[in-house]
Amino acid sequence: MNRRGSALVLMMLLTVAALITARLCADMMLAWVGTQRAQTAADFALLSAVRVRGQSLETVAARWDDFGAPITHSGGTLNAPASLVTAIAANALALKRALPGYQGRITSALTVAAEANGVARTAVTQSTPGGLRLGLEAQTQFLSSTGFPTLSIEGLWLRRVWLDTAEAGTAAVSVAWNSPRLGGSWTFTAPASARLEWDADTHDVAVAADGNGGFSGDWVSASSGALFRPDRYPVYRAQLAALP
Amino acid sequence: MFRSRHGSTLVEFALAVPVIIALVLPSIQLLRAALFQTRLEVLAFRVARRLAANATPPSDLSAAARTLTAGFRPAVTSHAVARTLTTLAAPYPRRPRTVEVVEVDLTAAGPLLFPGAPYRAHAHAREFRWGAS
Repeated sequence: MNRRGSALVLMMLLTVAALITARLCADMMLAWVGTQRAQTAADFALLSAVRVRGQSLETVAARWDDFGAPITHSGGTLNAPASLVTAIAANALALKRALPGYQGRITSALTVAAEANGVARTAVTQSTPGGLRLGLEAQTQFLSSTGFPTLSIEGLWLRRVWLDTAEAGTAAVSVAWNSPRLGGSWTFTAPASARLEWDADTHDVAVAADGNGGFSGDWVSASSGALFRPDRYPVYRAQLAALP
Repeated sequence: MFRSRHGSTLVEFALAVPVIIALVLPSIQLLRAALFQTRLEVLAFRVARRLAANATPPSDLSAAARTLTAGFRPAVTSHAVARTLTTLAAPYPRRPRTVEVVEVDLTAAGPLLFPGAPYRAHAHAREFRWGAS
């Protein structure tokens, strides 16, 4: 090699080193921006799913009210007008069978919202799956009516599985994010947490006296005087929670 | 014109070094500044996210922000406020809601760009916070 060329080689090496440094700096910036994108995706996907859960609970309550409102309660038994018993039984069974569909919408929302933010569903991990369950169990109960034999009806009322009236559960997910870099990639996770709150105004006199967290948790509190009202003020709101 | 073989190489190298430095140094310094700015922006984003998710009273937000930025080097000056936007009307039986915007401002001494030209990096982030009225 020409000795004059050694300076050129040195310059080239320095230039290459500078380019590599610049590339690594750019990769680090991209990774830090990626943390924001991952956190936004995690928050958005989780909030979407929790909101769909709240809307599903409200829809289920409205569907039950459509056929369950005439049911009354006396002496530990449920009663309904004879003309409505057949329709009540059919609608109760249909609502019970529809519950898995409402559950499916929650998980679908998680998938759709994640993918809309550039995150594959496989990169989303649920750390508290219970928070994204619908949380309702269909209960079989006897229904009496004048002129009708007492019937055991599937899904006659719906019981909530969460305990706290103020909050219907907290859900948490984490999103795995890969950020490309020179010679490989960096992988990190963005956690998100959200809770579904009972949104009824507890300062309201009627809500304070009669509210039950939206749905009843047991048979005893499903009745309100002579009325059978397992769902009372079923309104919910999804709220971002502190990161775990 | 006569030049020794060794001498010419050294002269070329000696002349090339400052040229290379002049070409490369500004780029590297600008990249360092951009890196630092990105780190600060991400930190502000995270602090705002955490403050928005907690029910910290507005008067305690700055203290909470200071706690969250305590581990950052170099030291960060943080300031956080909550601006109440409006109280939303809610249909019965929902509870009325207030909407706040948590605003976080972080300031830190950035890396030395050029001798005699220190600068302070600043990052701003905001997040919604929903609260019960």
